[in-house]
Parts: sequence; structure tokens; C-alpha cells
Amino acid sequence: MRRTVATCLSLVLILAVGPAALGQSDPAPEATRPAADGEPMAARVIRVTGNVSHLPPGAADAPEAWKPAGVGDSLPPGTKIRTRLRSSVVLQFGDDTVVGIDRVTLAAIEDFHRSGDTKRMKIGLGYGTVRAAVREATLRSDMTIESPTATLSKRGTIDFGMHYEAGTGQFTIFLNEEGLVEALKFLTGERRTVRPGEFVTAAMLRWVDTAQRIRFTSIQDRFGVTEGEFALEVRSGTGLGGVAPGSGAGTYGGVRPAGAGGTGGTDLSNYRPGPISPPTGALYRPEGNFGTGLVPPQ
Amino acid sequence: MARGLMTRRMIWLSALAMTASALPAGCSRTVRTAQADRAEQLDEDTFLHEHLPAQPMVTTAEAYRAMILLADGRDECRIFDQRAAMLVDRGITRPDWRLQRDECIDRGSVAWMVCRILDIDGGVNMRLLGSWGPGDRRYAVRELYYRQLLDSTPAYRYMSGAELVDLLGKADAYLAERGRYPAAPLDVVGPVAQTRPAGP
Repeated sequence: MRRTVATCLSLVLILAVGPAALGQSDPAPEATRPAADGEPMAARVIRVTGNVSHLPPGAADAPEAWKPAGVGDSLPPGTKIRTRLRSSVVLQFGDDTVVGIDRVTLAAIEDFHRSGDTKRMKIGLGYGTVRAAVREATLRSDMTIESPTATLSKRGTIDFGMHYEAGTGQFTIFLNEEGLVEALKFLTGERRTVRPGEFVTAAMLRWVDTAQRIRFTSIQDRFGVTEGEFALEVRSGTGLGGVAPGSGAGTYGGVRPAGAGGTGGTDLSNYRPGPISPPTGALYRPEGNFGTGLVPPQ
Repeated sequence: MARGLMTRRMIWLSALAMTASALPAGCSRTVRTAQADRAEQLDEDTFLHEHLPAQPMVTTAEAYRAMILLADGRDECRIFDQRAAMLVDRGITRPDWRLQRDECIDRGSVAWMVCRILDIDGGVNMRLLGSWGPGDRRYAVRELYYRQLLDSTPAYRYMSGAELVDLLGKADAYLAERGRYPAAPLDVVGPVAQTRPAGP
């Protein structure tokens, strides 16, 4: 395991120390200063929680060489970062990218430089969790988070990241808000595209397969419920089945009579939906509304 | 007839002798004294990020130190006996297990301690049986597996240092999500929204 982490971290590109440290009180002018083509840039610490330390590039990996991280610190490419329990750090890369390193994580800034009209960033992840958000700006951002068994490539996104476990080699790559992420597994060469609200694990299942496994609907007795109850269970079920049917919600309509033709349950035969009030800002498409009931105002 | 009976007796005796000789070997535990000594001398960062991930098996001394870090966020004890006394006082470990400082610890014992720190009482079996002993550590592993904090390998297997580090990270997140200590979630969306838009 130590060898895999070492292999990961050995990829760190030890570039020349970046420009002068960025000011803490008014960092914007320095942070937005355009870097020359190929010039290495430096990340800046904007928030620290708990105990976070970093190892400058080129320094021997001795306990005394690690320095506690503070707000305003400038971290050039080649810097290693580690966080303890109950600790995290948020870094700003230029004026449009923020990277968060969560608890119990060992990571490294492997690359951060400008190439033409593109800003390239590469984060090495030994273990733990890294999250990031990239806002659209004048420069194109090309960001990669890399662990020993998987790599994540970013395509202009908000709140994406990777969790990697060194003990088992398992990983999770996720995208929470917007954009598009591509996941690549080194061991098999498989690639998966991750869209907002999706994640991919080391199994590299497609989202449609993953979603089938994580959305569990408990139907206690498929033949003893009405269509309405079945629909309610599917929509509101908690997985607790008969203990909490429908999460406490009920179906419409009267009780279906017991005996022949009745199941003793409820049905929707007497239910008549009321007029649908369209949501504010609803768009009325000239080709129709696909059975949603939305009628253009007269 | 007598010859066949004799052969059968010989087979039985051989099997008995092999079983008897294997029992002590099966009950012995792996001892790593130098590893346990070193773990007590390291600062918290070096212990967590350099020492633990490199160990193929974790000793009781290392596991106890990790459990105190998980429970309190810091470890102010200096020696193993202090840590053991603290964990026993708080009901995080069981003296009945007779865990020895230099011996490698099994996943079940670690899982049981983590369950105690996270206040996970478990299901019916863990409450009825595990609460007073039988199957306690196995139920603890199953409970952590159910909560996706640990994988489903057997409770009697030794735990590696990297596995322990992974478990610490996930258990710490579990504590934070349940408000067991004041912690704000790691937010990257807010800071990026505050960054200055690029000029035209």
C-alpha cells in the first residue's frame, strides 16, 4: 500500500516555486494576476479547520518539515497536504477554482500552470476525499484528480470530487451540482461519464445500473394491493414496507368493499383530479405538453 | 479383521495428534513489539499518515491510540496503560478480551470499539447477545458493514493500518454528520461563488 501511495506521490511534478505569496487581506488582485504561458502558479489557502499541514516541494519527508497550514499560505505545485480527523482545508486555484481537502486525507498539488488559454491543475490523492468547484472564466480550466487506481477528469463543473480508500482500493467519484465529469479506472481502462447527481464506484457500473441498486422499493404483497396503493408505495415507500407504508401518506378514494371483486384495500375509482394549476414560469410548447395536463391560458 | 481395526485406530490417533498439535498454533497471536513501541513515540500526524498506512497488521497499542483520536479528536495519553484505562472507563473496550499491547488486533475488536464511539447499538441480535458477550465483535463488523463503514471480511481477521485509516475517516464523517462535534460541512460551492468574476 505504501508503495502505491509512494508511486502516486512520486508523480508530483516538482516545478519551480511559484510567484510571491499572495496577500491575505486583499488577495483578489494577486489571485487574478494573469500568469505567463507555462509559468507555474500557486494555490492559496482560504479556509482551515482543525489541524492541516503541508510539505513544501523538494523538502525531505521528515516530521519537522511539515508546516501547519494557515489562511493565506501559498502552495506551489509539488506541495503535499494532509489533514487530521475533524480537519479540512479549502484552497483557491486562480480566480475560478476552489478545491476542498476533507478529513483524514493525504493529497498533493501535482501540477498547476497556464498553458495557452488553458489553466491546468492536477491533484494527486493518496487517500481520503477531495472536492472541487470550477466557475466558468476567461481561461479554460483543465483539472484532474488522480489516485492510485482511478483518475477523474473535470469538464467545467461545480462540486465534484473523489473519495479513495487506500486499504481496499475502493473509490467513489461524484458530481453534485452541475457540469460533466469523466472517470477513468487505471486497472481496466474503463471510462464512465458522471452527470449531476450521479456517482460511480470502483465497480464502474453505468448510472442506470447503479441507480437500480440504490433505489429500493419494498412491496410487501404485490397481489394484495390496489394500483393506487402500489403507486403510492413506489412513490413514497421508505423501504420499511408494512412498518411504515407510504411513509404515513394515504391513498385517495373510498374503501373497496370486501368480498368477491374486492381486496379490502383502497382504490382510485372515485378519485377525480382537480384542475391543474401550472407552475410559475411554465412553458407551453406548440407541439403539445406530452400529457402533463398543462393547457395554455386563454 | 483385527488388522483393519488396528489401521482404523492408527488413523484416528494420527488425526487426534494432528488436531492437538494444531490447537496451540491456531490460538497463538502475532506479536509486533517494535511496531507498538514506535507508534507510541510518534506525533499524531506522523502516526496517522505515515506509520499506520504502512502497517500490514495493527497492534492493540495502535488501535487504542486511533480510537482515542476518533473519540476525542486528540490523544493526550503518553503510554498504553493510560489509553487502556481510559477506554475501559468509558466502555469503549472490554477488559474481558484481554487484549495485549503488542499483539495484533482483529477487525471485530476494532469494529466493536468504533460502534461504542459512534453510539451504534445495532439490531436485535447485537443487543440481546452482543451486549453481554456472545458474537459481540462479529455483530459489530456486520453493523459497520451495513452502514458502509467497513467491508464484510471476517471479524477474526487482522486489520491492516490502511484499513484502519479508511475506517477512521468514515467514522469521523459519521460523527460530524450527526452533530457529535461542531463541524461545518466542507463547502466548495460557496467559496467559488464568491470568487471574483473574470473581466471582459
